[in-house]
Amino acid sequence: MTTLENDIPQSSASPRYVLGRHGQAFSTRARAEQIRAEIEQLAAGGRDVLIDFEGVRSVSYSFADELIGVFASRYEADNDSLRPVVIGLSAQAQRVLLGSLEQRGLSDEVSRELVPH
Amino acid sequence: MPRGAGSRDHGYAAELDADLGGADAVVLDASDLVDLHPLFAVRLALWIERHRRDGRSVDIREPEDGGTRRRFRAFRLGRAIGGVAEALVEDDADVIIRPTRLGELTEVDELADKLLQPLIDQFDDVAVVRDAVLMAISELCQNAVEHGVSDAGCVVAASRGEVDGMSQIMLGIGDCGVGIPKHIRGSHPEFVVDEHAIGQALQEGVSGTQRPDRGYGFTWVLKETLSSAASSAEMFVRAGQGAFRREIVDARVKDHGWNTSATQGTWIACDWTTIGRLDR
Repeated sequence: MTTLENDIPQSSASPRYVLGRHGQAFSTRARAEQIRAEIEQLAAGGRDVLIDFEGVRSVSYSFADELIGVFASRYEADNDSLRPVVIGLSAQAQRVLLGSLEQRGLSDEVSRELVPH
Repeated sequence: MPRGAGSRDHGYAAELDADLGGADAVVLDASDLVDLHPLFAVRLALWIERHRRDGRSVDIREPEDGGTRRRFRAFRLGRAIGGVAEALVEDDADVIIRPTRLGELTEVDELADKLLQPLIDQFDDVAVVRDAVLMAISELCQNAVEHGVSDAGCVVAASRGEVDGMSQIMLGIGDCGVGIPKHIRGSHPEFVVDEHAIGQALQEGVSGTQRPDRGYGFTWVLKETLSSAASSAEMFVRAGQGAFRREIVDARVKDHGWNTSATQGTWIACDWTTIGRLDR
């Protein structure tokens, strides 16, 4: 059985962005664009970044799609681009994130790689 | 306001939209008002604001019905529409959010974040549908701020209540912009009938923008409602000359649109009814 830990990038150098430090509920695409820019800055050209949703209790579809959906589409198109791995999801956030990836037509393989479930 | 006018259907849109020309004073006679849905509170708040902005004095006669008067006061309809900082009400006549203006997208995020914990702590009977409520605030207010494009911005209010022994949470969202039908025809000119255009806007992937990743907000309000502990739910949308009702009962969705008198802007009510209580 695959554990969550095994799905997380093994490099200890992977930076982690803790979304819960910025609030419990996230709504708009504009907010997601801002956070995406912060994550890209945090990654500083590296390949992997952990996005930790621990403590986040509500995400809208727009927010999830603009943050994770956009990253995921780029990663599927170009495996050398930033790989965001999402951890600490509530059931609600997981449902919405997977809905975004499905709507974008991402493969199950990429969905499971980026959103372990 | 005739008796019964406090319902979300606000069949008095034409009167409220009317141009009062050279009048320098108006009277809002709400003495016969019974019940007050947050969407009607939003409508009244914007009406009062419009006349005051146009330099008219507004004389307000409060509802005589005790419960309605308490709610009328808790919505602070005699005062100016506030911002997010004053949005939340602490257990006053079941009002949760008084009419609040969201002029920037950051304020939509701010309101959802501010609402989450009080919703759980103070309104645990309706907090079981919080995912659907927060999805509606997030997606529908975002739409109103982005596409409504009017000086009035998006105005939102919410309250709780009881229907046949079940708890209910009610949400009202209004803007004075171009309205959903005209917006949606920007990319779908074939939707010439307003109620048809509203009905299409509620479908997955239909958007007034040309972007393929847009047009999923209404769908996700529905999905979160179906995933929630709501016994039933209803969404009502009015814009242009169209009205549309989406009812959800026992996980079945029933849509119905009809032609009605013209109104400026887009007016949305969402009601969720539940017998659940938050399991802490």
